[in-house]
Amino acid sequence: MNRTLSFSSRLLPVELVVLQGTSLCNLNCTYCDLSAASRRKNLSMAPELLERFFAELFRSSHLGAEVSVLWHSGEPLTLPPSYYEDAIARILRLKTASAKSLSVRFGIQTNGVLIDDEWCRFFSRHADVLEVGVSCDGPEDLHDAFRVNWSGRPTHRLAERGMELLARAGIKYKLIAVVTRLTLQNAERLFQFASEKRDQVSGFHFNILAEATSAVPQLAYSANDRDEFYAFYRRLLALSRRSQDGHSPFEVQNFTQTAARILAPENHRGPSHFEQSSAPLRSLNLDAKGNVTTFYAGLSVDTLNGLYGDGMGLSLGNILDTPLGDMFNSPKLQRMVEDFSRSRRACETACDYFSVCPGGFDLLKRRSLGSFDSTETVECRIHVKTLVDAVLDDMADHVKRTES
Amino acid sequence: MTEQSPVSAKLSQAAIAAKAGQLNDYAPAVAAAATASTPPMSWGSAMRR
Repeated sequence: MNRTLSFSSRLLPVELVVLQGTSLCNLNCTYCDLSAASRRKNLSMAPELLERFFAELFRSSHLGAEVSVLWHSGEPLTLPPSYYEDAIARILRLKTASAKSLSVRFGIQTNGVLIDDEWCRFFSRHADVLEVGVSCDGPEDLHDAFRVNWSGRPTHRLAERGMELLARAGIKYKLIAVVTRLTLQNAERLFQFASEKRDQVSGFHFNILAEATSAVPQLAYSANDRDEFYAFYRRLLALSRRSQDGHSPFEVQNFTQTAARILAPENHRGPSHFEQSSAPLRSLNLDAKGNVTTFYAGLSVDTLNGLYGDGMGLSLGNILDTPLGDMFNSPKLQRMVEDFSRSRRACETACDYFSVCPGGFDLLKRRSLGSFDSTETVECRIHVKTLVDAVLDDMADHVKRTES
Repeated sequence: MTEQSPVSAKLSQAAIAAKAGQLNDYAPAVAAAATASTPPMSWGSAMRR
């Protein structure tokens, strides 16, 4: 076996495919990662492109038992339900032809504004294989401060209407809320907003903004804000572990995932949490033009575009001119894997939180500190260390309470 | 013997408490136990850069 084959065979199977069905978005949220130009462009992924990608993926040896296919990175509902009817049918047909035993699940992450009865009928028809996620940042004032349309108008009322339509149709959805500085002072209101929807949501997760740097003061944060984030996490933890009005505690998935890492057996074998999060190929992104990237869900070709000298950032190539197999065996992927391994080794050596770190900060390290060999970023401090501290202290208080 | 960092000490204490069953009714731990040991990658947890 030659060196290239041996490299490729060490890669973990593909678990998540993020498809940019369209780059167009009906909203202009202040904190969006995608460029305004791409979000204004009415560019959709051609069915032939989708076919080529999945035909090659399903024939590859890099598959496990299940693959999730998620439409995001643009507002998926700006395309009609018929687009997804066709896409799901094509993907399932290709799966049956090449990977019969593989389980494929679908997801659509939407801002909820365009949900109507027709969409509800579509979601219901595919409920056995499709999960809907709605992005809503909590109560009106927290949401409307940043989630606005292209005229700058608020969108909370429309997102709420969409969620109500889903609820009326009996369709459960996952709620994802972005946390800004405004949210930090409003943990109770965020929790109340989400937990009041307990009967209609399949899960609730909050996202701290991916990057600390922003020209907008209410979106920027620094390591000095550690105490404010700690207090926010502790308040949410206190609220989420209590039973309310006869209901069982309302789960906040960030805390579940953190507790799972903390309580993972010490003799855990296999890749660390850190390694798994940035394992090459575990998540693949296909943009509307056919560019393929990997490492993190939703990664765009514009990210660190000069890093590997081809102006294509972490792109492995375009599916229209490069077979997936060539991408998976490419020298560029090997260089990236070496960089990410160096990044992991640096953290493993220097950081006391390594065993409980979900990983995912390699590119931020490279961008903000200039090297994959660097270690703590502001985002590590706020997203990981402060959150782990809060959960550990909450666990210790729980033990004290049960002892007394 | 090397001194443990504050977080290492707390992680050890959490492991001891879990082993003694003291976290059996701690809500995030209960939810975590109900999740498969290696859950499939989810959008919320994978979106990092």
